[in-house]
Amino acid sequence: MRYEGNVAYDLSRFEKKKVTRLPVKKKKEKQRPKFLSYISTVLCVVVAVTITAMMMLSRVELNEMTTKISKANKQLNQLKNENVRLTLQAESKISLNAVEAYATNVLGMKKLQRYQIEYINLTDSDRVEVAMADDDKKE
Amino acid sequence: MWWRTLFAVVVITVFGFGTLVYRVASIALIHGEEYQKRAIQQQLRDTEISPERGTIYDRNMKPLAQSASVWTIVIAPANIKNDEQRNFIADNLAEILNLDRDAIYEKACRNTYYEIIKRKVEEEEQKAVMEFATKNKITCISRIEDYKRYYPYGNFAATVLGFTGVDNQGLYGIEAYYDKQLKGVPGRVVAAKNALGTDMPFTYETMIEAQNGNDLVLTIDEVIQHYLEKYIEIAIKEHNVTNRATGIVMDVNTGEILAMTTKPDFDPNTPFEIFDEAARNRIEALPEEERREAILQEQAFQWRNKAVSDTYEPGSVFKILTAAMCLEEKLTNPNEMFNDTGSIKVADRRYRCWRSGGHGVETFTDAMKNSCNPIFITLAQRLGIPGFTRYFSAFGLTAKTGIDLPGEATGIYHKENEMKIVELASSSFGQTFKVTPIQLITAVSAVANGGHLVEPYVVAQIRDKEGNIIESRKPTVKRQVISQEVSKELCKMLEEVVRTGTGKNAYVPGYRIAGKTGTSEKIDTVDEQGKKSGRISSFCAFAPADDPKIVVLIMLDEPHGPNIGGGTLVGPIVGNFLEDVLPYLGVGQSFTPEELARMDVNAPNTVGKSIDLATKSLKDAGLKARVVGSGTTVIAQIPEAGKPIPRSGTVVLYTDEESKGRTVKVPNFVGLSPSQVNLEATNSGINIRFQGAGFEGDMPVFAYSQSIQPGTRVPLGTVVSVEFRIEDYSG
Repeated sequence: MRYEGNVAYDLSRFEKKKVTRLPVKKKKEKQRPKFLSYISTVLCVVVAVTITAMMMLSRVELNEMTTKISKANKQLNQLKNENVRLTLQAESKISLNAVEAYATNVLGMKKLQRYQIEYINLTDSDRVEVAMADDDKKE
Repeated sequence: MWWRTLFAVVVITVFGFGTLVYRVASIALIHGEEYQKRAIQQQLRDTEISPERGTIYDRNMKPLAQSASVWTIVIAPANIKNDEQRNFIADNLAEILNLDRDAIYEKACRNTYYEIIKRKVEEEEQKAVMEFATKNKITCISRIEDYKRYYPYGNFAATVLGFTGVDNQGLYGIEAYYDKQLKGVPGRVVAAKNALGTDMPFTYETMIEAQNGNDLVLTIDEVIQHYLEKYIEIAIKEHNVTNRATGIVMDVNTGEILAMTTKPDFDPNTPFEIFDEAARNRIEALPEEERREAILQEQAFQWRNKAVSDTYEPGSVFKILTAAMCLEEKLTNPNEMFNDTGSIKVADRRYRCWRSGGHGVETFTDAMKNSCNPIFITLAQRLGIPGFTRYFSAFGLTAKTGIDLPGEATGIYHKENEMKIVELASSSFGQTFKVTPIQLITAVSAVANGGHLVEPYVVAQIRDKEGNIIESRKPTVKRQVISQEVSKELCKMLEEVVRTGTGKNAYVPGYRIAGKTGTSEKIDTVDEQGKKSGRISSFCAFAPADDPKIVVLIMLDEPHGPNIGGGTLVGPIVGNFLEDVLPYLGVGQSFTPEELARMDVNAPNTVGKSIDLATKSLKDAGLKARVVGSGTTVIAQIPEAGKPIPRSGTVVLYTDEESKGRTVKVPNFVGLSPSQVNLEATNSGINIRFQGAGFEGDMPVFAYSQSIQPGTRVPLGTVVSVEFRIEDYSG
C-alpha cells in the first residue's frame, strides 16, 4: 500500500539536536547541624578514653586487691602463730608442776592423807538411790 | 591541596614519632628476649615455703612439742652509710634484742650483704626492730621468717622428746627418730613482685604447697609422767644420787610406755644450756681452757636417755627371771624347802647371803622374799648353763627391744660357750652382766602378763594436720617365754615380797602390789683404794598383783647414805608413786581385815556428856578414854569430835578448865620398832598413826619419820603420824 501521509521526512529529526538539560532538582540533603558532629566526635573520644581508663583502673584495682589480700594473709599467719605461741605459754603456766607448786606454796594445800578418807562398808542389801528432782516428778 | 596536607602529616608523623616507633620496635623485636629475661630475673621470686614441723602430743592430746613462726633479724652491712649509723644501729639493736653491742658492731663492719644478728626472734622483738628501722629510715635491716620449736612444759619428758637444731632438724629423742615424719616437705612459689616487694598478679604464678609435717601421738601419759619425775627428783635430792636416776612405766600387756624419764636432764627449749646446777658449778670451777671440753661432755651427758642407752647390773631384780626359768622347767616350786646356811661355795668362790648366818630353813617363796643369794645359785645350777642362756635370750636380754627411740644399747652378757659355773652363780642374782633398763622391764612384763614378751613403743599414732590417722601402732608380741600358770605363781610370790619381804617399803594398804628390790655392785667403778665402790639401788614392781596392768622400774645410780639398799631407798618411792597413779588408772582399793583394823575412825562427840556416857560412846567406837581433871562432865576432848584417830586410840576427855591447858612433849620415835613407839606414845599420852611399811612378816620395821618434831609441846591425846620402813641390806 502506498504511504499517503503528509509527513515528509523530517530530517530535522536526524539532526543533532541541542539537548537542553533541564535543571535537575537536587534532593535536598538533610544538612546536619555542625555542632552535632562535634558532639558525636567528642562522645566517641569520651567513650574511648573511658574504656581505656576503666581498663587501667581495673588493673590498678586488681593490683591493690592483690596487695590487700597478701597483707591480710600475712596478718592472718602472724596471728595464727601468735595464737600457737601464746597457747603454749598458757599451757606451760598450768602444767602439773605449776599447779602442784601453787596449791602447796600459795594456797597451803596438802596431799590427801589416807586417814582423811572415810570408807563405808556396804553389804549386799544396801543400794544407792538417787532422789527424783521436783521437775521430773511433775512430768 | 589535600595532597600537601597529607604529605605534611606523613612528614610530621615520621619525624615526630619515628624515633619512638624505632625504639619500640628495637625493644620489642630486636632486644625483646634479652629484656624479658631481665624482667623475669627482677620481678619473679622463686621462694621456698618452709613446712611446719609436726606437733608431738601425749596420749591425751596435750601438746608436748609444737612449732610456731618466728623471725631471723639480718642486716646488710654494705648498705650502711657511715660509722655514725653503724654505731646507732649497734646500740639500738643490742638494746632491743638483748645482745652484746660489740658483737653487733663487729658484724656491721663487715663488707657483706647478709649478716645474721639473731635467730628465733619472737613477734614483739621483731616488731620493735622493724619499727626502729622504719622510724629511722634504715633500709639495711630486714627479717626472714623461720620456725621455732616450743616445749611448753620445759624439761618434762626431755630425754624422750629430744630437741631440734637451728635448722629445725631433729637431733635427739623422738624428734630425731621420727624426723622424716615430723619435718614435712618444703613447697615452692614462683610469683611476680613489684619494687616494694609486694605481690603482683601474675598469669604464670605457680605455687606448690608445702606439705606440713605429720603429728605424733605418744603413748606417754602426762599425769603418770609427772608423778614419776616428781618422785625421782625427790629421791635424787634425798639420797644424793651422783650418776643420775631413771624410771620407766609400761603397760604390762601392750608394751606402751606410759612414762619414761632420766634425771637430771635438760630443758629442750634451751638444750645447749647445762641444766643441772651442780654440773654448772663444777664447770665454773674449772680453768678456762678446760671448760669447753667439759661443757660438751656435760651436754652429751644430760641429753642421754639412760633408760635405753645405758647398761647396768640389775642385781636382785633379776631373781624374778631366775625364778621364772626354774619354775617353768619344773626344777622347783614355791613351797620347796631350802636350807640357807649363810653362804655357798662355787668352784673357788664363796658367795654369802646378806644376812649373816643365813635365813635357815625356808621355802622358795621365803627365799624370794628374803632375796637369798645362795638359794638362787642352787637353782641356777639345777638349770645349767645351756638352760640359763636359753632363757636369758628368750627373755630378750641378748637383743635390742626394738623400742622406737634412738641410741638403744644392747647388754653385755656371758655367751654360752664363755660361761663357767662361777659366772652362772653370779648371773643368777643379777651380777657380772649388764642390761638396759628397758630390756629388764620388758622381761619382767613377760613374767607379769602371762608369759608374753612384748615390744615396747612410744609412738601410738601418726596423724596429718587435719587429724586423719596415717599410721596406728598395734601391740606386738614377740613370743611366749613362760606359761600362764608359772606367771600366776610368780605374781603371788612377788606379792609376798612387798607384803612381808624386802619390798615392804612399797606396800600401800588397799592395793595388791608385787615386786622385787635390787642393790647391785658396779664392777667397773672403783674408789681410790681400788675397791668396787659404785652401787645401784633399784626396784621393779607391778600392780595389781592379781591382774597386772602397769609395771614400774626405778633405778638410782650411785646413791649415797648409811643404807643404800633398793628396798630402803627406792621402795618408798615406788609405793608413793603407785599410791598416786593406781587411783588415776581406775584401780580400786580393796582392804584386808587387818588393814581395815588399822584404819582411822572419826572421834565421836563427847562434849557435854557425863564421863560414863562419854566413855561408853568411845568404847562403842573402838576407842579408849583418858579422863583428865576433877569434873564430872566432859568440857573438851582431844582429838576433837569428827577428827580422825587410829582405831584403839585414846581420846583425852577434859573435865575442868585447869586441865585443858596441859601439854606434853613429843618423844623422838625415829629408829624405834613399832612396839617401842607404842610404849613411848602411851607413856607420853600421845596417839600414834602407823604409816608406811606393813607390819606382817619377819622383816623388822623401824620408825623413819614423824609428823610432829620431837620436843614439840602438844595437847594430850594429839595424833602423831609415824612412818615405818624396813632396812634392806639384801642384794
